[in-house]
Amino acid sequence: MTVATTAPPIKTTAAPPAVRLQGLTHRYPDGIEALRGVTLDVRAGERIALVGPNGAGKTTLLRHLNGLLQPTHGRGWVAGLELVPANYAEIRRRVGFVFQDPDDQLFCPTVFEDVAFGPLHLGVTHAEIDECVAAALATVGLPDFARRVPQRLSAGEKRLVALATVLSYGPDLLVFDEPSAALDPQNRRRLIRLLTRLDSTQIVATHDLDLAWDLCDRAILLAGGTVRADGPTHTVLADQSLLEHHGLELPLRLQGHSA
Amino acid sequence: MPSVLLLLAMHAPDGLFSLSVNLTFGLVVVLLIGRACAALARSHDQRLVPLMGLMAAFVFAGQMVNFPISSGTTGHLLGGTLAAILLGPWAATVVMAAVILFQALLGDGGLTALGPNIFNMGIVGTCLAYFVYRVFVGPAFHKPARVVAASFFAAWLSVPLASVFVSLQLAVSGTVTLARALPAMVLTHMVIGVGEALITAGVVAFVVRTRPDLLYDRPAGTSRRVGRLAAIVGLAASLVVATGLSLLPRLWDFPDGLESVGFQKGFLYEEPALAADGIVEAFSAYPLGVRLALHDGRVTATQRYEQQASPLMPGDVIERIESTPVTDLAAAAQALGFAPAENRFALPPGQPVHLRVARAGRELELVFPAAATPAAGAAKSRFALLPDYTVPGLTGLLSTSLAGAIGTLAMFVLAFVAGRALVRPIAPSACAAAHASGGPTHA
Amino acid sequence: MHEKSLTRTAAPLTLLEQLDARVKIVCALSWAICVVTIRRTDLPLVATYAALLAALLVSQRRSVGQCLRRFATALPAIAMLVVLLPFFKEGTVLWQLGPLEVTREGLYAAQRLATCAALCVGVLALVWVTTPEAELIAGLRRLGLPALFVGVLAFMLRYLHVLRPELHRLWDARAARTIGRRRPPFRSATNLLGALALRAHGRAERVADAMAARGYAGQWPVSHAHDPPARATLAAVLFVSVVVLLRILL
Repeated sequence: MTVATTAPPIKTTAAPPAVRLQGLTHRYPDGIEALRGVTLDVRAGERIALVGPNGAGKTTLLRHLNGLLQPTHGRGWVAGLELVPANYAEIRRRVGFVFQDPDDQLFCPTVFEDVAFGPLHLGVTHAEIDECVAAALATVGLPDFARRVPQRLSAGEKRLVALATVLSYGPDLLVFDEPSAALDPQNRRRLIRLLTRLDSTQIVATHDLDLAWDLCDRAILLAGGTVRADGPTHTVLADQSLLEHHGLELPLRLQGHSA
Repeated sequence: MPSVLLLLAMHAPDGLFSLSVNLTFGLVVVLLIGRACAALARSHDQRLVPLMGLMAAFVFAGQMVNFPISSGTTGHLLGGTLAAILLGPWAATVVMAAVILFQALLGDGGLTALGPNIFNMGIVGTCLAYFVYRVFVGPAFHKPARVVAASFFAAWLSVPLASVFVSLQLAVSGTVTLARALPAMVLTHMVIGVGEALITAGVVAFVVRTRPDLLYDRPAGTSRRVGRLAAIVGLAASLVVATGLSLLPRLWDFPDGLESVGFQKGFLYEEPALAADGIVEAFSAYPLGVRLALHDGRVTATQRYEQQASPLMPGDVIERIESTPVTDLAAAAQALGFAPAENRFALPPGQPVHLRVARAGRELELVFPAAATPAAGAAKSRFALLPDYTVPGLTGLLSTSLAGAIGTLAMFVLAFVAGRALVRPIAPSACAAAHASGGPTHA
Repeated sequence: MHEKSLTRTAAPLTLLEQLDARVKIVCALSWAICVVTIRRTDLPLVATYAALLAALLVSQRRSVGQCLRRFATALPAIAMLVVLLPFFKEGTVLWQLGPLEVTREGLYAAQRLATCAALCVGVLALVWVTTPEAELIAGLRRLGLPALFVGVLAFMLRYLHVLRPELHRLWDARAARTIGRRRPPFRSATNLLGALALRAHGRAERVADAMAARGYAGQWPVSHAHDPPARATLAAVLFVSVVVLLRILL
C-alpha cells in the first residue's frame, strides 16, 4: 500500500529542512502509541497536506512541531533546531500553530490583544506592536477588527483572526489543524486563497481532501501512527484504493470523474 | 420566606452591612487573596490561569442552573466547595473572588459589600469546606464513595458556616441583632445546605466516575493507620463543631412556633431550674417576658420576649423590684409574688412593674406592664424559626448538645448514603435515590 | 446580560465612555463608600445624589435604555430584602401580621437599604454599560490588582460566552433524550453540570496549549497604556470631589 515510505533524503545545502523527523514515536501516559516511527522531511516553502482517518495521529504529530508534546522516541528538528525543551522558546517563534477551534486560540478580551499576544511574548517591543497587529490583520483582510471582541465574530472571521494571531510574529512554518472545519463554502474559499498567497512553509492536517487538493503540492497519508504514503498531492489523493483502504474517499471533484 | 432574606444576604447589597464591617472584611479579603495569588504564582504553573478562569466561568454558568430537589423546590449552586475540590483551596478562593466581583459589577451584591461577600462565599465556602473535605476523606482518595460522601458533607457544612458569618456581620453592623439573625440563618441554611451538598456531590460523583484525575487531591500512599486516625479525629472535630453550631441558637432561646401555641393554649410551662439544694437558680418569667437567673449573687435578666419602649436587655442586673431590694433569686421571686408550685406570679396582667436596673454601669428606671400569665393563655411570644432541641429525660445544654451531635451523625450517614447512591452507575430506577433525603434532623 | 454595544464607531463617545476604566472604577467605589455612610435622615443628600445620578444617566444619550435595563435586572433581589427587612429588625411594633411583626426600626432600615442599594446599583449600571469588558479588565489590571486574579477574571468573561452556549446545548441534548418526563431526574442535572465541568477543563487545556504555542511562559504581556484624555480625568476628579463634598456638607 505504500507509495513512498520516506521522502528522498535532502541534500543539506544552505538552508536546513523546515522540518525533519526521524523515527518519531509518541506514547501517551495511558499507553496508547499515537505515533510509531514517523520519518519525514519538509523543505522550506512546501505546502503539505497531512491526511488520514480519525485517530491516525495527525494532531499528535502537529503538536510535536511546536513543542506541545515531547517525542517518546526518535528525534525531530524544526528549522534546524532539535525538538528539545531548551529550544522550545525559539521553535515557537518560528512555528505558528493554528488550532482547530478558534475559540481556543482567541482567548483575549479583544482581537488586538490576541493578535499582539504572540509578538509581545516573542520579543516585539511595545512601540512596534501596533504596526505588527495592523499588518497581520490587513493580511487576513480584516483591517478594522483590532477593537472587536472575539465572541462577537462569525465563525469565518474567527478563523481568519486566529490565523492573524500567528501571522503577527512572522513564523517560517505555519501549522494548521483542520483549518476548514465549521466554515461555509465562501469562507473556505477565502481561506484557501489567503493561504495560497502566503509564502511560508505550511503543514495542514485535514479531512477536507478538496482543500488539500487545491492548496498543497505534497500529501502525506498518516494511518495508525505511521506514514503510509508520501508524494505529490495529485498522485496520493487520486489513488482511490489507497484512500479507501484507510477510511478516506477521493476528493469530491475526482468522484465526478470516476462515477 | 425568611430563608429568602437570608439566602440573599449571601449576596449582600450595599447598605446592608456597615462601612466598618465592609472595610474590615475587605481588608481581610484583600490580604488573603493577595496571599493566595502570590502562593499560586510561585507554583509557576503556566496552565493554572486558564484553568482557573475556565472554572470561574463554569461556576458562574453553573449558578444559573436550577436543580429540581423535591416537588416545587429548586436549588442552585454556590460552587465554592466544588471549586475547592477541583482546584484546591487557594485557587478556589481566587476563582470565587473573581465570580463574586463580576456579579457585583452586574449589580448582584454590593460593591462595598464585596469584602464580606467574598469572605462568606469565597473563603468560608472554599477553605473551611476544603479542610472538612480533606479530613473526611482521610487518605481514601481511591474510594469514590468516600470522596463523594466527603464532598456532600463539606458542601453542606459550608453553607451554615457561611451563614454564621453573615449573622455576625449583620449583628455587628446593627442591621439585625444576633439573637434574631443567628437562629434563623443557621436553621434555614442547614436546609439550603442540603441542596448545595446534593449538587456538589452529584457533580463530584460524575467527575470521579469519568475523570478522577481532575480532582485536586490524587490518591496518595498514606498508611492505613494514619488514615483511620485522621478519620476518627475528623469525625470528632466535626462533632464538636456541629455541636457548637447547634448550641449557638440555644444561647438565644426563643420559644419556637410549637411552644408559642403551647403557651397560648396554656398547656406548656417552662419549668424553673432547681439547684441540688432546692434553691431556684432560674425561673421562668414569661409573664414579665423576662427570664431571671442568678449570677454572682445578683439577679440578672437573661432574656425577654416582648418589646417595650425601654426593654430589659440580656445581662441587665435587677437591683430593685417595686422598691424591694433584690440580691438573689429568692428575693426577686418574693418581690414578684412568684409561686413556684404553680409557676405563677401574683401580678395581674397589665399591671406596671417598676424595676431599678444596672446596665453597663448605668442605673436605669424601667417601667413596663406585666404580661399575662401562661395559665391565662395570653402569653405572646416571638415566632422563632429554630425549634429547640430536646431529648426526653435531659434538659438544657446537654440535651441540645446531644441533639446537635445526633443531627451531625445523621448528616454523616446521609453523606455516606448519598456517596454510595451517586457513584453507582446510573439506572432508571436509581434516579430517585439521590433526592430522597430531607433536611438535617432535629428531634 | 452582556447585551451592550461594543461597536463604537457610529456616534461620538460621551464623556463617560471616553473615561478610562480605572477612573470609573475609582469613582464608583468612592461613590459607593459615600452612599453607604448615608443616614436615613439625610434626605437632602439622597435627593442630590439621585439628581446627580439621573443627570449622568441622561447624558448617556444612546445607552439610557441599556442602563435602565441593567438597573432593573438588579432590582428584584434588592426589593426582596427591602420588603423582608421590616419583619426582622427588633423595635417598636407597628403592625402585627400573624406571627410576624413590622417594626418601625425595620421600616427605617429598609428605607435606608433601598436608598443605598439603588444609588450604588445605578452607578454600577452606568459603569457597566459605558465600559467594554476588555477595558474593564485592563482597568482592573492597571489599578494594581494581582495579575493572576485579573487573568482569571479575563478568562472567565471570555469563556462565559463559550460555556453558556455549551450548557444550553447539553441541556437541549438532555431534553431531547428525556421526552415525556415532565421533571428531569436530579442526577441527570448533576451529570449535565459534571459534563460541563469536564468540557471547561478540556477547554482550559487547549487554551493553555494555544498560549504556550505563542510563547507564553507564565507572564501576561502588559499592553501599553492609552492615557485617558485630560478633560475626562479632570471631570472625574471633579465628580469625586463633588460627591465627597456633598457628603460632608449635606
